[in-house]
Parts: sequence; C-alpha cells; structure tokens
Amino acid sequence: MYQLTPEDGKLLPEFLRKERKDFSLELRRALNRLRMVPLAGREVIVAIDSKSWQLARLGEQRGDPVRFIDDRIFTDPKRAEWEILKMRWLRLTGSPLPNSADAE
Amino acid sequence: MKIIGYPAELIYRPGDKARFMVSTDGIAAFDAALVRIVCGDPRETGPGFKETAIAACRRSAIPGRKQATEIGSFMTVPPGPALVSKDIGFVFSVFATTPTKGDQTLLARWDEARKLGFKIGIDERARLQMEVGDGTGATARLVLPRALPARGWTTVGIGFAGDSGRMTLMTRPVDQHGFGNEPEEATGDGLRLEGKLASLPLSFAARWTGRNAAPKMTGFFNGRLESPVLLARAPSRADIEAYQTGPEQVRQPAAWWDFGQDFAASRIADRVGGLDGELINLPSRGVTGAQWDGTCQRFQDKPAHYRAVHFHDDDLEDCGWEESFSFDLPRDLASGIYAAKLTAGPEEHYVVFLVEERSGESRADIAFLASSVTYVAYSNEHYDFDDPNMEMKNGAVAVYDASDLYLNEHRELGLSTYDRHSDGYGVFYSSTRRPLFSMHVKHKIWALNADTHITDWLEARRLPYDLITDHAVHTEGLSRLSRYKVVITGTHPEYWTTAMWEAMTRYLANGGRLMYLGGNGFYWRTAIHPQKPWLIELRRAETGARYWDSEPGEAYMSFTGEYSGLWRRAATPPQKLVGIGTVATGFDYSSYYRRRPESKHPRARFIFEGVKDEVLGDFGSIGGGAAGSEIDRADPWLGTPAHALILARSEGHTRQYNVVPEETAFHHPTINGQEAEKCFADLLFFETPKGGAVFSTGSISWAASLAHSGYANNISRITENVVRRFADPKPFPEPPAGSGSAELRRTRIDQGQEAYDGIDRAG
Repeated sequence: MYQLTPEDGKLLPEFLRKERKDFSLELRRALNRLRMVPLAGREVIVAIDSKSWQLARLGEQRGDPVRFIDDRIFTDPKRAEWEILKMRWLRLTGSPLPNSADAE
Repeated sequence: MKIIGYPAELIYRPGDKARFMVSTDGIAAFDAALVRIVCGDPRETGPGFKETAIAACRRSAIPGRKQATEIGSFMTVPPGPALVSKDIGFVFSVFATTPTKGDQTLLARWDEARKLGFKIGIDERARLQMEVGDGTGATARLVLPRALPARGWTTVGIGFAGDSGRMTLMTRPVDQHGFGNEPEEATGDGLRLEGKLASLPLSFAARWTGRNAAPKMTGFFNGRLESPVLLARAPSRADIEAYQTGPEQVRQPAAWWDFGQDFAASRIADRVGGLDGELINLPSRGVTGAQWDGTCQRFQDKPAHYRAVHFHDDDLEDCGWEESFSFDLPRDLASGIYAAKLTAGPEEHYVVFLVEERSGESRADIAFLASSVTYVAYSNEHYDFDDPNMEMKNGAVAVYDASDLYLNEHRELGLSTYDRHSDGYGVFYSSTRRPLFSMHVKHKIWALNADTHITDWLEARRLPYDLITDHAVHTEGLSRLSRYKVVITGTHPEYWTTAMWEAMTRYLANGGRLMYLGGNGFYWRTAIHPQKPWLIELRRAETGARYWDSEPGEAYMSFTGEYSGLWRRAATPPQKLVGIGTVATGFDYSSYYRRRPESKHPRARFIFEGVKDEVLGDFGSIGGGAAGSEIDRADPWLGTPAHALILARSEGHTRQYNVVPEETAFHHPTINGQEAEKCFADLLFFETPKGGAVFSTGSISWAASLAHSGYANNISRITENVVRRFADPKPFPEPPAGSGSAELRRTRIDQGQEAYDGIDRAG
C-alpha cells in the first residue's frame, strides 16, 4: 500500500484549485490513499438539502447511525470533502496538513 | 423519514385495485393522493420534479401505525407424529460462517418466554451447546469444549431422552485431516420434558420467542445446514459416519429433510413422510454441501452435492405489512409511472409503482420498457455504506441523503443483489414485497428515477407512449412487444431473463424497432421465480463488474436451474442483440460523442436531420455529458452485425473510468479511461429483418442530456428523429452488402490477432 509523504501534503491543495478531471497523477495517488481508510468510523458527507452539506462519520458496525462530526454547514460539497481529506491526513500521518490555511 | 411504504404489487393495470402497505413513526394519520410521475429528478440542473395529480384517487386521515418487519431465515416444522417420540435425535452437518457471533440456533423446540423445550446452538466461543428447560425456570446445559471451525463442515449428532433427560452431543469433522479434527462426544444430565413439548414446533437456524408479536424468532444462525435427519433415539457414532456417506444411509430415520431437491421451493419434503418443513424468508438454495468435491458445477447433475441451505440473519422475502389503504385505479388511466403520495404535515413520501397497459391492449405506437427487473435487482443497495472500495470507485467522499441514512439504519428492509450478507456471502435474491429504494423519486439519479428523464422527454416532445415492463415481457413474451412499432428502453436495462431476451430477439426478427437509450444493458442473466413473481435471482458468476462473486460451484440459479452471470458468458452477448456491450464504468465526468463519417451515410441520414454539430452531447445533468456512467461499445468478435453503422464515438473519458473485467483477461496499467485503447461509447444503428432496426446509445447518461436547453439540443433532436422514424411503419430496406462500418467487417483472423495482443491493428 502506498505511504503518504511530505511531498503529498504539498500537493493536496491542488484538490481545491483544480477540477477533478484535471488532477495530477500524483494528487490522484495521494487521494486514493486518503480514501483507503477503514469503513468503521470513516468520514462522510450528509446532504441536508440540495444546497447544504455537513460532515459526518460512519459507525463501527453495519447499520449503526451516521453521526455528525460538528455543526458546520457547507454550501459547497467540495469544500466539505476538503475538510474530510484534512482529517484523514491527520489520521494517517499523525500531523495536521501543513499550509492548509493558505490553500483555502 | 417518518412514513414509508410499498405497493402490494410492483405493477398494476388500469382498473386494478392498488393496495398499499404503510408504516409510520409517530404519525397518527396521513393523507394519500395518486400522482403520475413525469420526472422524479428534483435537481436544478435537470428538468425539475414534475407530477400530475389524478383526482379520482385521494384518501385522507388514514390511520398511521408502525409495522414490524421480521428479517432472518429459518426452517420451521409443525408438530407431528414423528416428534412425539420420548427419545429424540438428530444428525446433520453444519457449516458456520460467523461462528463467534453468539447465540446462534441450529435447531430448537423452544419457547423462549417459558424457557421450555430444548435448543441446540453455537455460543459466542463457537462451541456446540445444548440447553433444556422444563418451563418451571430450571434449565440444564451441555457444551462441547472445542470450537466449530469457520467455513468448515462438521457433522453433529444430538440426542435427548425424554424420560431421563439425558443429553448427548457429538461431532465429527467432514475433513478428517488437519489439527484438532478428532471426533468429540459428551453426555450430560438434563431435565425431564416428557409430554411438555407437544405444542412446540421444531425450527432450524432460529428459534421461536413464544411471542405473538414481533420478534417471533430469535437466535438466527449464519451458515449452512445440510439435510437434517431426525431419529427416535440418541444417535450413535455409526449414525454420524453413515450420514457422512449420505443422509439416506442413516438407519431407521423418523424424518429427514432433503435440501437436495425442489431447489426453487420453500417447502422441504420429509423423505420419510409426514413432517414437511417450510423455509421462511428465502435462505439461499442451490449452494454446495459437505459432499461437494468439484466434480460438478450444476446442482441438477449431482443433487447430493447440494444438500445444503445457507441461512442468514438478514434474509428477507416479504415485509408482511398489513394493508393501509387502496386506490381503485381508473379503467382509463394511462399507463406510466405513478405514486401514492403520502403526506402528514411536513412529512412526505412517494410509494412508486408502475401502471402497465392490460395484456392484449395498447394505446400508442411507442412503448417505453420500464426496467422493472433491474429496479428490483438494485433494491435495497447498501454498497455506499458497506463496501470499502466505493469511495475509490466514485473518486469522491460518499454523500448521503435522508433516504440513504434511513435505509442504513433500517436493515430490516433487506438487501440488494449488490450486497453481501452479514457473513460476507453474496445476496442471490431480491423481493418487491418491501419498500424499494431504487424506485424512489426525489432521490439519487439512478434506476427508475433516471428513467424519468426519458418519460419526461417523451411528454415534453408530445410523443404518446405506453409503459410496459420487464415482468410482462417475461410473462407474455413477444405478444407484449409486438403491438408496438418501437420499443424504448430505460437508461440501464441491465438485468434480463431468458424469456425477456427471447421475446426481444423475436420482436426484432419480426420487424420490430428497438431504441436502447442506456448503458450496461442486457448484462446479467436473471431469473424470476416461476411461482413467486415478486422474487428475482441472479449469480455473479465467472466475470463482470461485480460487487461480490459467486462461490465455486454456485453459478446456477436455484429458481430455474439456468447458468447465471453475464449474458456474454452465459449465452448470447448483448452485441448480438443491440450491437454494443459494456466496456467501462466511471462516475465522475461524462463525456461527449464525436460524429464519424458513417453518420453521413444515406442509411443514417434520418438520424441526423437538422443536426449539423460534429460534437454531440457535450452537456447534460449527469457528469456534464451524454456519454457516461456506464458505457458500451461495438465489437464484431462478440456479434455486432457487420452491416451496423457506428455513427459516433465518445472520447476523453477520465481515469475514474475503468474497463470492465470481461474486456481484459488480465490486469495491466492501461485499463483506465484516459489510457485504454477502447474505452468509449458507440452510437450505433443497424437494420433487422422484415424492416426492423436498432438504435443504441451505449451510455447511461444519454437521457440526462435530453432536457438540456429546453429540450432543444442535438441529443434530443437525434432521439426524436429516431423515435419518429421508428414509429413510422415504412420498412427499413435491407442494407447493401458491405455498407457497415469498416471496423465491423474485418475477417475473423484480424479479430483473432486483435484479441491476441489487445491492440487494434487496423488503427
């Protein structure tokens, strides 16, 4: 399995800057790794309606309710996904994604 | 969601009494109105949600109540003469798939409320145990020390003496090799139950709670049981050894339930006679048993190798809710997609169903063929919650709506043929007798909801149509199709039975016209239960884009005995029927088609009347293009007719697209949409005998482009050109020899070379 490197952290802001179809191969590799987290406790997005989204987390077992992570409401689902990617970066590397504030 | 329901039948005809089962949560009463669904897509990027009220059918203040669903399969045997013996014994084989789940019942005559009877099961340490209770509160227990293996067959013997209360447990692994495979045996003193069990039924794989309300069963077992033999005595080691050569070898059986016959039936005959069992909630049949040795793949060939039933704690055949209300559908009601719209204050729910023209009747020249079998196959899919790879497949974090969250938490509504059971085994069956989430409107744009892009377009373009269904084509055959000049499929007609396939083949051979407005169509060979039309079955055999794959020896369907899996492998490739077949799937962006020189051919002139664009469908509400989600291409090797015209071909698909397994015999790095040589949708036209024709788009997202720019766009124009010409009775002439696309006219040797090295030599 691919191991994330500090270089991947520098690449990740490309997620915000580009359309998905234009992502570089290196970014895709990093995203694939960030998506390969266990189902139990995996971060997901809940559509509150057609214009607002919230961060949530799967339960430990099949059928467990999805729980909201916090109260933040996002008006752009891609921005919500970015928050999840940062959470997973922290989970997998043990450190916050560097310079994420600049990217935002 | 505080209100949910399902129709008693998926498909009604005008004039029928449509009955509805509804369950509410904290809602005392609700209203119901019949509406015709024109478009189920509420998004601003699509045509918008459209419904029309049918004034004749309204009900108000219908009492609401919560209705329970009992999930989990088992076999029950009513009390009978063979069960009155004071000494009783059982011999059978067990294959536990979640042995440490805890409190799993293998068999029982047990009243949970009174703690009366006996029950044999597997405890949380996977140990075989027996418990007896005399109804006074006293219980006794016997446990074998060694754990049963996971996914390994063990023959067990169980004995209980009614007058002395003596208990016997013994095991003998079927596989005599390996560590810890020695037989085990234990006896213990139990309780006297003589005369106390008369009214208690016998059950296998779960036990009765003794309640009159849900849950009536508990202690569900995950795994396989092989044909149990009932004795009027405690079993001996010789009985176990005899059983392992075949249940019929056990001497003096009082009853034995043969799981190796009548594979579609829920009734299990007692081969001794008089004590038949009944399988409840659709456990898996046609699965390998302890004797299966790989010498056969088909259960009919060696039924003794398939004497197993696989029980799951999440099997479901029928929610069994009581009727809440009904509508008398008007006799002159137009066929189409309808819903009972349920409202209670801010709560709203659409119970969607189909209304089909009566047999032998039609009102239009155009038929829209609703993919009713496919809708059932997708219900109720949980892959976005349960499959860890779906986020990678989608290339995006999962986004759930309220309907998704409800389904996740209400597992009692059952699984889809895309899911795995809680023990990891694939789901063979799906039932309409429960809320069907793949038929929900104002929900994700897939299955029925995506098909409303076609019904919406037909109505917007004032093209009168009748709705017909897969189920009626299956039952009525050619006569269901032959009344129509043109049949239009939905966006994803993926699941086809043999009878449906034969009907369509005959329709086209008799001058019928087919518009395949979808992708990944005609893909899986499916069965409808011969006596229970609310059930479908399929196996994910051999290859194909699968969310699980069939276990070895289990590619044949229990309902029909047919080989399942891809039509491409099971019988006829879709390329022979509609000219194209699945090549890739991907769910981020859709693309566009670029016209090819063949689009200017005189045979195709009518298709492009009024269309000057070279690029087609670079717009749409699914991924932004008309070519996407799941796409098909022509392939002469697989049967695309040599006279077919490839009118246009999509290009520029993304890396999220991947070529399906059956298109690449081994894996390599260039199977993604960006790099693969053949990852595109083909827009295809060809004539069939007696003046018929086929038009195929090869893309699920085609229909999501129809409404773009107020229906004034090249995809809409092309589709309308074809519908109107196909509805014209004037026969299509036989095409001149050699007038098909050049790449479809290669010699077989050329194709062989291509298949050998995977590279298109002709460029």
